[in-house]
Amino acid sequence: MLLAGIPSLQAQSSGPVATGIIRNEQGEAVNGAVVQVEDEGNNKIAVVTSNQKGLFVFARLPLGGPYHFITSHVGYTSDTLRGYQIDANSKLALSVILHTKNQELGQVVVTALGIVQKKVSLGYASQEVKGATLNEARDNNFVNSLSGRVAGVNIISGNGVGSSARITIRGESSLNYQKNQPLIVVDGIPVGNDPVQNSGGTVPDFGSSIGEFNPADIESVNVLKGAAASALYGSRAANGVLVITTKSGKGKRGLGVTYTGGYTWENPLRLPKFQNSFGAGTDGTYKGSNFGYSNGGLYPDGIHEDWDESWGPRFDGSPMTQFDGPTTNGFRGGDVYLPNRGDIIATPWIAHPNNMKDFFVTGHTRFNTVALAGSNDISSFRLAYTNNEELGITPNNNLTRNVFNLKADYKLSTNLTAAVAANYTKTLSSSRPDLGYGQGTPMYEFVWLDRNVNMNSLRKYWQPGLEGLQQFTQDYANGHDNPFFYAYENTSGQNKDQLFGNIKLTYKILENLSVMGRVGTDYFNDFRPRRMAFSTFNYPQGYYQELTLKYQENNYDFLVNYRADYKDFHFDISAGGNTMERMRSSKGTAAGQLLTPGIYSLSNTAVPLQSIANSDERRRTNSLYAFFQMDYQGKLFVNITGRNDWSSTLPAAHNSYFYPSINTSLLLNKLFDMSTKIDLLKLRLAYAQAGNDADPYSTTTPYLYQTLYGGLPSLSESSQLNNANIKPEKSSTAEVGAELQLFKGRLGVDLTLYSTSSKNQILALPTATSSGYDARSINAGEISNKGVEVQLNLVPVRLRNGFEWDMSVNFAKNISKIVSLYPGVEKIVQEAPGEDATIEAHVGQRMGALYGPGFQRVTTDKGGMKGMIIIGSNGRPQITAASMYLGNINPDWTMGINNRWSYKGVYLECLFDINKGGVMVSRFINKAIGAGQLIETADVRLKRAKGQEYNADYYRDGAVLQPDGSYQRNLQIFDGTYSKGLNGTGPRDFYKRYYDHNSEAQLIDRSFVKLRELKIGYSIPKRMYAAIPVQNISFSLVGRNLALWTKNQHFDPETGASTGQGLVGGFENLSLPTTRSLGVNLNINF
Amino acid sequence: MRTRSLFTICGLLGILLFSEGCGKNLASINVDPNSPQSVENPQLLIPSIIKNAMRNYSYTSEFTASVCGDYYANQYTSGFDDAWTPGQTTGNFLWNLYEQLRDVENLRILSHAKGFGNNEGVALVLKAWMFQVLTDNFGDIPFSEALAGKTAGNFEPKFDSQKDVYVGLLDMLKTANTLLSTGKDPINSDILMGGSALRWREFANGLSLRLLMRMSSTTGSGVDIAGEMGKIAGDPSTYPLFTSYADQAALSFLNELNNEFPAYHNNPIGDYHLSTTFETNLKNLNDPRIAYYATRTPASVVSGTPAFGGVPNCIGTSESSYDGGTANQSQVAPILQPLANSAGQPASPTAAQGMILTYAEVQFILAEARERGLITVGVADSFYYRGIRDQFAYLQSRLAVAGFAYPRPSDIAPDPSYYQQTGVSYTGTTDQKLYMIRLQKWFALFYDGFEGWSEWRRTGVPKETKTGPNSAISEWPRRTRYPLSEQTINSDNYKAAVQNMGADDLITRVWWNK
Repeated sequence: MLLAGIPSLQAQSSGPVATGIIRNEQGEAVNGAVVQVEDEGNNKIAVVTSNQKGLFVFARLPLGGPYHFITSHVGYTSDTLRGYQIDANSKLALSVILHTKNQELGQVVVTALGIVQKKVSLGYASQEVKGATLNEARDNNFVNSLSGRVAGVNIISGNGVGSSARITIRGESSLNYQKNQPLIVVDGIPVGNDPVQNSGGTVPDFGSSIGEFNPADIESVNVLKGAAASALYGSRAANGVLVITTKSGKGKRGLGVTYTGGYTWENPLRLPKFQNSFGAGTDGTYKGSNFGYSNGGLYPDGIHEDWDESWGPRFDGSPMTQFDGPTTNGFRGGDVYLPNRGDIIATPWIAHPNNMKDFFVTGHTRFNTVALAGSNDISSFRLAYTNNEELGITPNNNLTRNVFNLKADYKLSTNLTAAVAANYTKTLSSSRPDLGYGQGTPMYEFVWLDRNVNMNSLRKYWQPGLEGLQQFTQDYANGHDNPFFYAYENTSGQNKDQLFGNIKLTYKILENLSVMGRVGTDYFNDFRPRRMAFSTFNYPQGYYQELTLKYQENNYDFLVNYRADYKDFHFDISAGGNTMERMRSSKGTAAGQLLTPGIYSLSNTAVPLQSIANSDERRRTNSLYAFFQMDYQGKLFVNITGRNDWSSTLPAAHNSYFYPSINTSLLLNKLFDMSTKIDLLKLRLAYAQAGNDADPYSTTTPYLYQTLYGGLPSLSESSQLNNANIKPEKSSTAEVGAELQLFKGRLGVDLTLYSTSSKNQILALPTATSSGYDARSINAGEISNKGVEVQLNLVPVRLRNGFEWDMSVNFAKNISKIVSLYPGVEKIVQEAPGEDATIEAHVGQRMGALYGPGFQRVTTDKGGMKGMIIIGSNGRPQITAASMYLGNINPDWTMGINNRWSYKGVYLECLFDINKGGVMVSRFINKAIGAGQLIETADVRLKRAKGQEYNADYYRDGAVLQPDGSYQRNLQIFDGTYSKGLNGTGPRDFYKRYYDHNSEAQLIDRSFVKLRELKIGYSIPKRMYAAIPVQNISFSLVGRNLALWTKNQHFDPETGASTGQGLVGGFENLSLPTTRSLGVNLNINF
Repeated sequence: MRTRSLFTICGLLGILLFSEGCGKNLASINVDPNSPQSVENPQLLIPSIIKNAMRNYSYTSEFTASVCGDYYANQYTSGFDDAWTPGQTTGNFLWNLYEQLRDVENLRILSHAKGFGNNEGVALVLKAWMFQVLTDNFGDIPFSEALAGKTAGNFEPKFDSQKDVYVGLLDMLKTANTLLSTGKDPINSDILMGGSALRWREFANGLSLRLLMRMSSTTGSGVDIAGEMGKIAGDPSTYPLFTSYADQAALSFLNELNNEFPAYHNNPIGDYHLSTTFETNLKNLNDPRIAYYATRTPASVVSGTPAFGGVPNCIGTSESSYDGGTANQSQVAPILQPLANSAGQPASPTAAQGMILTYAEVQFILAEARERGLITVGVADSFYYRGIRDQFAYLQSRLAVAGFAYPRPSDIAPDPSYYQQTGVSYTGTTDQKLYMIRLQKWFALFYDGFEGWSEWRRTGVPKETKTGPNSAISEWPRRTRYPLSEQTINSDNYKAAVQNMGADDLITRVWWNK
């Protein structure tokens, strides 16, 4: 990468034409790098080699050009400075920074506790993603950009601006579904990814702290996958660690200014497919006498005009009285609160095929980052400011983030270095959409948005003269909220200040003995006002609440490091300690009804204020740890670690737990004489244990404060019986891996096999309610995770003219199995975010098993109908009372394939993400089919003549039980009209009773292929802006999630359900559609 | 080298010293600042027991139970399939009363330990009432071993036969009546009975009568049903009973967020309509209470003449077009309308009460007992008429609280001729008289949990309650199914209960209903 290449302005009479310095990312001089000058036709003009100081000199070059300076060195990515004209006066001073090549020998990575290690010395799997990769195809939650890039990492993302993303590495190992995410460490300080949500109901996704981190400030993300890699981080890292290193000013001599900016457009990737043949009504009828509000309102209704399902008459353009039809008094049909509304004038009965799409807007993101960076011999410094403005795809959903990021170090004396890293983020949001199944969430309203409803008619959402008092709805005020009213008036705002960072002092006592002390914090204060306007159906008198969430985690740690050499051995020994304190608090107040409409203040309450969601939580973990590294001639590495934790959340008798790890790396190509074609053949072996503690206050059973009743306080015992004897959880991992690199880095393979066993899990075991308790906390269970990860790096083509094709593939397969639960317990229901289906853990099965009711089927061979669904006397498929196994929500395997073609400053890169296997259920599909909206529901109705659709029954194929115990085929004529058989139903029941409360019928294959990223980048040749003081200009066109191939036509199978505690995969529960985005980025270095 | 050793030693010493302190003082951090871990004053438990139980009980009374009791029609639930499928959630048929029973048990144990006889009595009355509701809905239930998760580590309690439960409950109520007659401790925070031990005794004894009447056709319980009823009916000083609606067991809801009547914040409830069974029986007697039990039809509001239209249960989606559509159909009682339905008039957060046991019900029990010769004190006519009159007065008092423009208390006041007409006037054969008592009792049990349905199961009154074309089962339900959680977690005991009682379906009859 070009950092400085300033053509001299003064002609000189003598001396070399061009000189330059080559450094690596650490600012160290690179010796022996080859610098070659080529002309436009790729003819070699001259070659020199850099010296020990990294210096290279071209004494003379032929006049003309443009010339390109190509620098290459084994272990580094080659770099090209383009477009220099040489004239008689030229005197170039060039500066080259070479980047360590991925998978190649010199690479160093940041591992546990911020220790920088050579990658070859690691005895466990880790995989690094460069910050540039994350920032190019930028996702505002950078976590999403890891999807498909790292073997074994799975991401489920929430939808809507600023929403959270759930990360799992190597599958699930905890029975507590929400305790499977890795630890995230930024510059040595843990930062949370637990989504902190408002509890209960259809609440928005407010994202997580790490999701707010600015990708432009990230230097690298190193994914430590197993306990072996993360044993030193202690109990929180049992699910792996993302070690994030932010950018620093190191290696940038003098002052450098970088500008990065971009603009991104976003729209829904896949919307459900609707039928457009039938409108609102029931049994084909949509007619009324006096359209209006039926429940004692001004305009009592007739028949079915408020019906919120599309089981009405076929669209034929004939005149029909409708909610948005004009009235004789100049109002709208739905203005039912106006005494003088008048009679509705009929308007054509037609479909509005895009009525869901019309609600969404194009999302926009604009971001600008300016970074100042520089360094000298004793200090380095980087300060960056980012402004990020987002508009979501739902109306009135915006988010502004201002981020300040600072990283600096300073050598106070020859032995003492001080360093600071800090990140401050201010997040402001006017509103985020409510999610889930319930009044007011956009997707809930679309289920019952009839096909004849013109979304654009709902934009003027107040009834005239009743602004602020009474909304105008699509169903004559009979129970649905106008989606625009809800989006603009019922807001969930956010005002969050977040600060994380650390201060570090390192003292070099002796040349080989140093001590480091560090204090770090992750803090936020999150204010969330929630408004409900008058006439909201659930809050007709309005509602207002203020919720403030606070979080602080402080870490204090020290580390003593001692290095020694003995003959061919190099030893590195460290010991340290850490105290971690975490505090959370939540304080809220609600005004249940408002006095004056439109005023959102707690003073404006019509009923006594109530305190909500009040809680405080505190925990502390003290730790001591040590690690030992041995390096034999750079050929054999052994790492041993040990850590002991003392946790406040465990009972005093069990609050101390120790866990060790050992791993080794053998460079077989160095230990044995091998072909020179083999750059690296490495064998890794690792074993590690990790412990885990409990949640705070889980050793005693509390009596919970209840809402005051007429001022009377009251308590009720918790329904979960806690356990004073809880023990720490324990997991152990064994891992073996091999790395092979051939042909000067043109082929690399990395293979890992692992096996993890997680025991003594702390979980809430459901108990029979009749015991007085719904659950009790126990130590139980053993989960085994076994898997394989493969990474392949390939350079199929590398031409002398600079054209290069890089390809990388990663593949992962993980099987998590429940070995045991608890004596006498065969299953545990882990999550139930939807209607009927649940994620359950059954002994002997894979984690992620989906259960739910399904079809009752013929079990007898007699009559040849074995396996057919049984149709009851009411014409409906019979559904099992008990849950049955439906499949697994987790993929069988995942794969990412990345290709990059580059040529002279232009590159094209595309990343495909492939998930094979896995199932899920969708509540939207279920409900919207039952409501006659989705395309499936037009099928049989269209087979009948207009007006005849609802006259006769429809018959499902299946078996009908006869009085004599035999079965008879229900459907009699197989012409697709379902019009003759034994037991039939109307069209609504034909569909609704097939899907509703039948998880088997709702099942969807989750397999998909996604074009995750597509990028085209271009570095503008220097010669085009030689006259201005700019070193480099590049821009790129990037797309994310541009294409999706999957079986189901209604939505993206990556959609997860937002539960308030976090995202759950395998369920679509009225979640917003996922998005595709397209954007441009600009990068300028001064 | 020497410095190096020194540093190493210092470092190791430092680590040792540090580790000594690592585990200390951590326990003090893990003390929950949000909630107490124990309760010293047992009375702090009373408000939430009553409120939480009543919110769920009253909610269910308006919805699931109103369809069971055939007061209201609902096209979705009266298919007796989906809504009657045992779910993971336990609220639909009140299995979650076990949640309140946890606190009732805590109240009982604490009060007993402290010698608070009155409070222990209160705990026993509440316990008996909740178990009565549970056993009547489900049949055999965990009883003798229930609620012992904390005290005995029993997380899989066995089911007891309904007969044993009934016998146990009668004992429990007797003990309660005794404790409450001798206790000296104050009953504070009593949101149901205003701290009156006497009223709790009246509740206990009335509940005993309810239990005994349910048992009145059973044999083999070892209980002398007539004797026990006679004892209670004949000795008011030992066994006081309610004297009017003023002292009956009904919780007043409050105009505070989440303390209103439980459906107050519901979505509009267009799916529930007056059932034809309720409509027919009220109209047959020209009973003005129809205006209390259901709204006027939308069409009649426009025309200005109040009219009420019912819909049959079990007819599925054709309900919405029945009798010319929703314009001609009455919805749930004005006092049960949520805020969101209140376009015509303000909904009342407090007019509806959480009814547990009313004076009227007790009077109807006495009337039937007297008519059947189970008791020999009093006169059947008097019990019967007192029940009807008090019920009218009670409903009028609730309308006075509501303050609606319609219905006002006077709109449901009976004409004197009401009592003289055939069907109300206490004349005729014993069967006719019993029918009248039971019909008036069924009216009075409206919005009182599953009691109206239980009485129909026992008596077959009203006779119009029958399944229709949309029903998934062959006859009107006779019980409800155990929740899934109990089936799967407490499966061995569940299976034993099914073995003892009969299939876990909707038509198996419970013990007192055989």
